[in-house]
Amino acid sequence: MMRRALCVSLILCLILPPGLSAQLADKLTLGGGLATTKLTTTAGGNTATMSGVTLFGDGQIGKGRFWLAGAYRQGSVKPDVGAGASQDLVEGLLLAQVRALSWLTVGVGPHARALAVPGSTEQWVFIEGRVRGEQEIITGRLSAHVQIHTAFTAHTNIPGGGASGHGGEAGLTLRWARSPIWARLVYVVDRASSTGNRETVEDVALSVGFGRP
Amino acid sequence: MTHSRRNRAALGMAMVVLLGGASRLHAQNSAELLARGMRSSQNLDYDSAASFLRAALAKSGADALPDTSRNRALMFLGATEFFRDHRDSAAAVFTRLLVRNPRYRPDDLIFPPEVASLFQDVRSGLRAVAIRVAPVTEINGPGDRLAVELYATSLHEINAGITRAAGGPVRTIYHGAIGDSLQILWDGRDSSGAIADSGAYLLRVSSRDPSGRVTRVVEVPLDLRTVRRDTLPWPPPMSDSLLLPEQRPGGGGGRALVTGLAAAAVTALLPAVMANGVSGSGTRFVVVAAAGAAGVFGFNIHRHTQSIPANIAQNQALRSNWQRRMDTVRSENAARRGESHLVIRAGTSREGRP
Repeated sequence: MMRRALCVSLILCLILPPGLSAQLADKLTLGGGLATTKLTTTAGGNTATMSGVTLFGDGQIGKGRFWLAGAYRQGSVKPDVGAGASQDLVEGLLLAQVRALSWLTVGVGPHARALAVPGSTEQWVFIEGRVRGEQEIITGRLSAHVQIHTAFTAHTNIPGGGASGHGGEAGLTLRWARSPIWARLVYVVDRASSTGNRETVEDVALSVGFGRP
Repeated sequence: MTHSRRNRAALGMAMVVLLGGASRLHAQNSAELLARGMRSSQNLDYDSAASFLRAALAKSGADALPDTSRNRALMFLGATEFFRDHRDSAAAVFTRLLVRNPRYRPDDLIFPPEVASLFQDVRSGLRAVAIRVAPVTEINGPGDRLAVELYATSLHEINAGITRAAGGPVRTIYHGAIGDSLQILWDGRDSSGAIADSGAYLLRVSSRDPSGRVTRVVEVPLDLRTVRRDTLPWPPPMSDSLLLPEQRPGGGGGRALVTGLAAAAVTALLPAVMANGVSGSGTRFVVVAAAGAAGVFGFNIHRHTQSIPANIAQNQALRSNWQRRMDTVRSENAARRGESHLVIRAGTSREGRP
């Protein structure tokens, strides 16, 4: 499903007349890629790690200093040790963002995650705030960014309550000269906690995209 | 009173009468003289009529008869001479009238058939052409021409051409027969096809008899002025202040290095800061290495002068735009230099030397 959505988005981006897309938005990007994902779960003093590959897609649309950003990813992770059942990981994110300074962006929006195993689904829903700083290493070509986020509110269906979440991201973005193509390499760590439980998702993700950043 | 004294007295009286009559004739204006001449002719007083009409025709300057009245005076004078049995004089007067206006015809209600018949005989035997041309003609483009109307007394051969006033042919416009009238056109070019230079020219029409001998020439002075169109001014040179810098001087390498290394450090430390108790994925060191390498690479790049592609593109667009304007002006000026605007002023028709 994610692949289909990504394909449709890319095709729309390519076939939209430039003039029309410029009227709609002066910022429009679409991208997608894959990530090596590591899920570390700590419950009742026991820690288990699971790993896998997930596919994701993201996009941004906006005008001036304001834009909306969305991301979706899906995949499965398997226990690193033993022969336990794999878990499907599905995650979605929607952010309203504003460029506060030329290098600083802040945003807020919902973030949902689901871990599905046969017979049950663990759900997390956060309302997050994000702060992102970006600095160019080579003007117009290569930049680095760092992002941290924290949940203002968090809900989970895991018994016990007291849910919270925070995390961070760092990475590089490379842009081809005189081309709307870009590539991105990032490391993301995201922790969700509730009473007696901690889940940490780490991703090293490589993506490529198209559009005016 | 002796015989000689009587003679002297008679001579004196005659002188007084003659001088008095002459001075009366001289005192009247041309219109009055014409009216009296026509009245005398209608009253069959042909001698007086001839005197009045000749006096009217002799007026010049501001009191000269206008063209229409002059033609009328000549017609009445010719008829008067005819009735005075001066047939040759009548023919000479009619010739004079027809040379002035080949299209003139006597009014059948005023002049008897004998007069009309003589007039017709003179016209048939006369080979003369009158020229009518607009006082000012402008030739702005390939379709424009100087239009010349020719009116002939009778069917005969003519040559029409342009010559320099100082002598020398420029171009033959027409060679052939003319019946009643003919329109000829001149495009302002000489026989080689080039626009004629500014200067004084003559439009000459020669009438020929059947043997080819030139019997009469009529010419109109032409004053040609070649006016070339003004060229457009060149666009002002493109100011350097409009151009953006195309290269960035070396520097800023330290910031690039710090940024890359900071991104690497954050990536390395993120698990410890954000996920206490988790060792962190070893795969993240790919990002650590990439960020560190990017910082070093950026540091190295920034030590040297860098080109600024966006500025180069914008400057190129400005230069192209300026060059397009230059090319437009250049081609327009080239076209304008090739265009000549010709003004032809025609003078009064006159008889020329064959």
